[in-house]
Amino acid sequence: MKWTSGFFSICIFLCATFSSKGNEFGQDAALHRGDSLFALGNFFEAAIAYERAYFFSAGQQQKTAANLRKAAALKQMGEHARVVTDLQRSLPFAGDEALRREILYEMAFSAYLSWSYPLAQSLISQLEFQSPQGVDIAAFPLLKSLVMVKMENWEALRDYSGNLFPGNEEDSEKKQMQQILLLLLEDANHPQSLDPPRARLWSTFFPGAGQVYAGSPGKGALNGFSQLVSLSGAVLMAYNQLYISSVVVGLGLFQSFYFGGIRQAGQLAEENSFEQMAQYKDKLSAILIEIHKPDQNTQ
Amino acid sequence: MIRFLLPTFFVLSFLNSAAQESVRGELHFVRHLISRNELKESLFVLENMEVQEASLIDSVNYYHGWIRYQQKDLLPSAAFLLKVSFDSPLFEKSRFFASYNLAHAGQTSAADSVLGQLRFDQSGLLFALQNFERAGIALLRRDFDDFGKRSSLFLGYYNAFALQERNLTEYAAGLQQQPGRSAAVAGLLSAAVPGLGKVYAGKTAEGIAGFLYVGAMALTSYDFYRRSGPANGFFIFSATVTGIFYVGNIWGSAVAVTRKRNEFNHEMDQRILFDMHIPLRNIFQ
Repeated sequence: MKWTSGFFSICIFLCATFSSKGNEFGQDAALHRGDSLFALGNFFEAAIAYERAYFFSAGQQQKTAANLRKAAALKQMGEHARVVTDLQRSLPFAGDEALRREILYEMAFSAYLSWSYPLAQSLISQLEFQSPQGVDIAAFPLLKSLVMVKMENWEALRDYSGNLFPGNEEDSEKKQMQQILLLLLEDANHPQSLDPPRARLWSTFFPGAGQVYAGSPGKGALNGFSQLVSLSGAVLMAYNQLYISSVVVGLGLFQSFYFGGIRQAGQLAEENSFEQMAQYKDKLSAILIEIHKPDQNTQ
Repeated sequence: MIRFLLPTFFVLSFLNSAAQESVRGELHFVRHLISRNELKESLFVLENMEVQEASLIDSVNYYHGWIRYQQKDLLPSAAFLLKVSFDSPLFEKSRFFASYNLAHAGQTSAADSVLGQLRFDQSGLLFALQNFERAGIALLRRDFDDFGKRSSLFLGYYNAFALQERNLTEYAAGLQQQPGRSAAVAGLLSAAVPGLGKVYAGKTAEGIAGFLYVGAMALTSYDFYRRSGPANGFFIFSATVTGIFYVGNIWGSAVAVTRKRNEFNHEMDQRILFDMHIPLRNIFQ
């Protein structure tokens, strides 16, 4: 009798250990393991543990919870594009509306961080549509305005900038920053877009002028000077009856500098235009982040 | 005594079966990760598994090889795939892919030997596939006799590789008809007319460019010579540069023959490997 009861006790212990809830594939065990790995900073293994929890759990709520935690681990690894694709699979099943909004927000945020701005904008629109009372996520206005910056929706950003204060309207410094933001968003303060065909046209008729138009006067002067020297060389050689050398060396170098200069002017216009726009966007983003930062006194 | 042994036996059996069950679960999980293209993660899970059952060891080796294959890590992939035992249902697939990986990594003799050890019914699909793959390997080795013997068995019957059989036959003809150009002839031609050797080697654009460069420099040198005589510094400098470019062009033409031949061979190898790969992916899905 004693042996029989001992045997059954062992069986019960083993059943408990290897049952779907208790074994290492059990949702809870895998989640706990993921949490401890995450806490230790081992995000790679934590992501695997959360994926295991996702794979072995039967309920959609549990799957979604595991998926969200995996997304956090992936974000720590800088794999933002994977966060979007991973969370996508939970979207159709997230029954709880709050959970669904959280997933959409995480997806939009990760899409923003992985430079997929149109996708981020689309996810933000979905999130707003599914939140008729307004999105109750503190950082949402900041994300929305940052996406607007990247998408160059200046007018929409100007209208939306009133929503950026997290509540402390008395903060004069932030108010001042908001005014700077509005000033920067005025049409006159947008960076001038440089037209590459126009730069090329300038350089076709006035060597070096296209580079000056593109905002690189030094390069324009150097190119103009090179053309002048090569052309002078060609003339000098022709004057000394070195006709073949005049054509091959002098005019050969001149045509190279001339057509190269036209091409360079177009490229510079394109690059400088892009650079100016990037700086403008960086400035706007920095101001937006500063405005949205919680007041240190209220923390 | 029996009262002690019997429960112990049951407990150990249960423990073992539970452990193996957990390994099976893990293999399902690995398959899930592979299907999500999370290859690094699936490799990590596999490397941390403790497996004892022979059939599960086969599965582990197969997945290991398969992940390495997906990661284009071909030699380790072949090594793992070759560990899959004869009893495994994945044996044939593993052998075919191991052979392909070895062939892709340039180990054509080993690749052929792996396939040579397989025995199939001569009227079946796998026999025809084996013959096709070995024909491809023969072509990679440029062993046209062996290829001839194997291509005579091409049936053109199986849709999975009927087109590829025809392609291999065309590649073999192309390789055999490849013109045997001589580096010395190319050099001599470029010595006579700068750039002509490159045109002969099949690099027409390079040949024309070379002719224009050397010609322009030679004309400049002549110009200085005509105007100032042979002792003039500009002439000496110009003639030296022209001479360097002239000799460089001759050397470049000789090298262009080998370069062109290597490019042709590389392209043919890529096509052969591509055609060897298609039926494997179609048949062993």
